[in-house]
Amino acid sequence: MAQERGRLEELYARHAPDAVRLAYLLTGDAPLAQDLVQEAFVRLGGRLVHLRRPEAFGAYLRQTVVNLSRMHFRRRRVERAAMEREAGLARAGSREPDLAGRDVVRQALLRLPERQRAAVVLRFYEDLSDGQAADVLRCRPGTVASLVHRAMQRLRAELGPETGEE
Amino acid sequence: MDPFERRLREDLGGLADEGPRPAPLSAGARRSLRLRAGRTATASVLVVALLAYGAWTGVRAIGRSTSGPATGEACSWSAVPAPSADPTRYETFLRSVAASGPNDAWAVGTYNEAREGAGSFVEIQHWDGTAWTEVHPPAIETYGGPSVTGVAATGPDDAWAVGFNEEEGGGVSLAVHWDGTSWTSASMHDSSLPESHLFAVAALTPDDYWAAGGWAKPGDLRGGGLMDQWNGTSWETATWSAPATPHPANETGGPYELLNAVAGSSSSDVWAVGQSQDVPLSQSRTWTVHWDGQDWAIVQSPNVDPEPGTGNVDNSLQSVAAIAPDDAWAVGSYQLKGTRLAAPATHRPLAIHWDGGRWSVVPLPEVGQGGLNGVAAVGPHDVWAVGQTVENPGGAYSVSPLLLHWDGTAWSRSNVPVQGDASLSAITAIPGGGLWAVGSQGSPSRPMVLRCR
Repeated sequence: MAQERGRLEELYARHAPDAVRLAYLLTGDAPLAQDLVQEAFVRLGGRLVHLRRPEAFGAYLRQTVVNLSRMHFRRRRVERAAMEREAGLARAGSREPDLAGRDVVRQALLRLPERQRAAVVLRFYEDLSDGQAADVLRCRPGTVASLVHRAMQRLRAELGPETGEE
Repeated sequence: MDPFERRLREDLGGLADEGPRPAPLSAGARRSLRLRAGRTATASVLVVALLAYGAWTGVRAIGRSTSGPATGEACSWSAVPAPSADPTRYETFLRSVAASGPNDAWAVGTYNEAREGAGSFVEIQHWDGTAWTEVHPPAIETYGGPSVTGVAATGPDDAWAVGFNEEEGGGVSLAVHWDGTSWTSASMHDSSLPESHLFAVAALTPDDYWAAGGWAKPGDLRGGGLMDQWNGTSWETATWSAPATPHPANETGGPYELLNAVAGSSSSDVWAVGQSQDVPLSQSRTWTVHWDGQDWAIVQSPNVDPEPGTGNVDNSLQSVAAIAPDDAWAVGSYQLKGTRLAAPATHRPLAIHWDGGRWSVVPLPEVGQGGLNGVAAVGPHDVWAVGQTVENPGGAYSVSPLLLHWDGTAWSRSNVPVQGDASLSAITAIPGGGLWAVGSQGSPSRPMVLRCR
């Protein structure tokens, strides 16, 4: 039993750090990122289906993290709409103020629509091709290209002066 | 790369560094892993698996046709029309093909709605000498959808197809039989395995079929190869007397041994091939086992190392053809380079040959990235292998069918008579002459059937 637990811990220790980084970029929320990765790990943990392609555990974990974070945003949209109705608010309150430095980037990233953010993170952080990102997002490669294009336009507009300089 | 994009990449990396470390696995997570992922997981994991498998087999790809010289082939390839479930609504994937004669062949696979979370359905097609038609699949109670991945036949009234059914508790082996009139589901003998999948089946006589696959204990990170034998009355799980594959000392889980294919030249000469994977290093080595009529024995098989310093050994075998006790072929892929994300495009086709004494790697023509999924022999000097090549120009990756021929001396690349994106998943020799090959083409994926005659 102890040995089996050791194996699980080992698999988790190996794959969870990358997955948490990805989840954090997708959600901007540290505790949520940790929770999403635990849930993703539970969903995948050692199942046979991912072993047909032995190299793929990391890729499955990534896919599951992306799916779960998108599910989270969908759920939150519904919850937020209900809260706003109850509170009679016109719109959601703004996020906490910027702290410094990269937080500007983080805030700009979080203001992107969820699909655009996922596309940018998969392309420029995970370094996937349009085709690979399209498989993760379940859309066509052309859609990824256009999501990234729109996201970059928006990020350039928001960050351009400070961030675009060498 | 423009400066803004470069800076954004750096910032994303920096942001990720500022993020949290993983929290320790909670007690609840551990418990869930033991009890197996919850009910919502089963379907989503299956979809992920199909998606990844589909991506690998080129189902979602944008591609182009291939061309190359044809050498010493006894037949020539052409496309044969095959039906598909409503292509505006469904994707269809053919996984396996078998023929008992010129007027009797089966192709099996799955189809599913092209949307997130959709379950899969069994696709079965039959060739009667004139045309391919869809045949009503057996009724199978399911949770996440059954998958049929292998088929074998001895005659017009005897065929078996195998796969796995995603039940609420996980994957369960599935075998369905054709008696000349209809397909019916058989009960599998051993239900004690925590999770079991069958991937392939071979027919020797109506009373002697072998099915190959794997079992797993999900919470324990252990699994092994699974061989089931049909004795004319029931399926019996073969017991293993062989020792486990040796693995490195620093490994903490596994080995997961998995058999992807099975073929025999007689009831006392059967090969099953696959791979043995360790956890968590995710190294994978070829794995071959042989049946001499009495016992299964593990037989040592070679691997191709990646370029020095670039990653782990990652080899797998997807198909096997047994010609004689001293002549067999197995094909699959190896990883050329290790990457953090382990994209399939880093793989290359692999072929190994058994000469009666040992397996050895046989050189293939340079085709770039890709892999082999099927191999079939007409004779010792006429062997075919099918798969796909993968290209990744400018981000959008494309997949093209791959067809290789062995003339007794060397492998060479053959023309594929299909334009556009496609991949080939299986091939079989037709008793009486010729071959069938099946796969998928286009996006959404449609069946593709080729015949060599």
